[in-house]
Amino acid sequence: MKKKFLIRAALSVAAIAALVVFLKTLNWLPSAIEDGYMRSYADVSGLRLKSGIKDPHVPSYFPEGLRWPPSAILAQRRPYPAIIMEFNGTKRNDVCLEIFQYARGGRMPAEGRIKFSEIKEKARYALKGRPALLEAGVCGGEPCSRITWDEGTYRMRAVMKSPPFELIRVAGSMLR
Amino acid sequence: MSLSVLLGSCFTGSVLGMYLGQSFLHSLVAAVASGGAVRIWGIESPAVRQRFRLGVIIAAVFSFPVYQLIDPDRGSAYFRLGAVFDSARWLTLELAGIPLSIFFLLMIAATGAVFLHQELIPVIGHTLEARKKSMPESARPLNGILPGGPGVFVFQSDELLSFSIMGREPAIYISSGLEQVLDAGEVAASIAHEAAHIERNRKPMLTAVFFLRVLQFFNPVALFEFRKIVQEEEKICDGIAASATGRPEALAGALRKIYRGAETASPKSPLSLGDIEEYSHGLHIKSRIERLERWECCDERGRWPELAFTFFAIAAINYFMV
Repeated sequence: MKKKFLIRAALSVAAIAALVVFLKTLNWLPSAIEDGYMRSYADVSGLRLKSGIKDPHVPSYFPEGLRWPPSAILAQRRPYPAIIMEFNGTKRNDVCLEIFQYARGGRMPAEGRIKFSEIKEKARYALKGRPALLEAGVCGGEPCSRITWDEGTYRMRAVMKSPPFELIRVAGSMLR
Repeated sequence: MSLSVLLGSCFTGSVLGMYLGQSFLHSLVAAVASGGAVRIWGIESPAVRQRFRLGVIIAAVFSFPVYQLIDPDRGSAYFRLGAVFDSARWLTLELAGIPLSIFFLLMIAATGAVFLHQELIPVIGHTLEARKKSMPESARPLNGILPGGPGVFVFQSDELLSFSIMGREPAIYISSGLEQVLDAGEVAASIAHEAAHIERNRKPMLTAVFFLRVLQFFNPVALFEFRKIVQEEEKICDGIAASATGRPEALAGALRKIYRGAETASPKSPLSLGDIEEYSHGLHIKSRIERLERWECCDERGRWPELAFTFFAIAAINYFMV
């Protein structure tokens, strides 16, 4: 009786594992048929060449504490164009700057790797003439800030572990 | 934006679209996993099978809102990248220039139409009719069948009918045609079956499930599972009647006479929706009769560990299905 139970339990686990493998395979299948789904890119030139997104916004100003190139680049053309770029610090290995570029109507994550534990201040700000929302607060005990604005067909957001002053300069350097 | 991206974005970028898509996916995974578990664990008891199926409806209705409460970012790119299955990949795909999301839209529209035509309108019509009509006064009481239980009445009709009326004063009605065709044991078994429905209706689980099912009017998996739940309910009442009368073969005999020919019906070609319904009904009657003919007072353990393991696995997989 106990042996029968154990065999059935093992079969159940195997069946669940088989179901997960099947679903994973189904998930992979569309990318074998068509490209454009979310994937990571090694560098910005790869992103420009292969992602199919013509106008990725990349900052040209970097404060001293940030490391170039980006530590992670994720991009998709389907179901809507979106890019997420992450930059680590020079003296630390965690993400210090995140840039989101999402087609308007797309679903931008409320937060990325940099998570606000408290928002202390919100203000309207004109970023090179574009209306933007600037927020300053605390992330894991250190000051951080984020700025959100619309750029053409995209919604942009930059989040940085720093007070707003440096973030504004970084965000401004992404605009022509 | 192309049509496929636009439609795909509707299903993956809006809360309503995500609910439609993920409810379907979550219930499909739950149905496959529950069906597999029932087979692997050799579960015969209709009451336990009904619980497994109930889990599918619950997964369809509640999974998405609960998961979104746990992590509001489930729709984001980060989450989708690590998901077991990302519906956006399929819903934005085009095959021969036709977006797959169109097929999904057609499927939910067709399911909604079936629900309206075959479930909601008949249920509303039946309720309104039942309010207008009262049972014929000529119905005569059949005394001594269920002492202390609901009243049993015979009404004049040549058709082979038996049914129960729920509510404060529940009653069981059988037609005079049925009384003539069935022997005394078969009549008693049919009445015991109806009495079981009345007894189980004191805890109106099926009504609650029906309301959940109404919320899932667009979901073909919920449509299928709800019908199976109703069929399991019939088997549960068969079991109660068989145990109460001690004569399962009498109920099997009654079923065979009432649904003469239904259990031997074979599918016609080409199949229409009506033929499929009729064939499926015949299979259900056949399985009820077979179950009663090989009746052993079944293993009625709750099977809670198996149920818990299966539901835990379903919840874990579905969390990563977006």
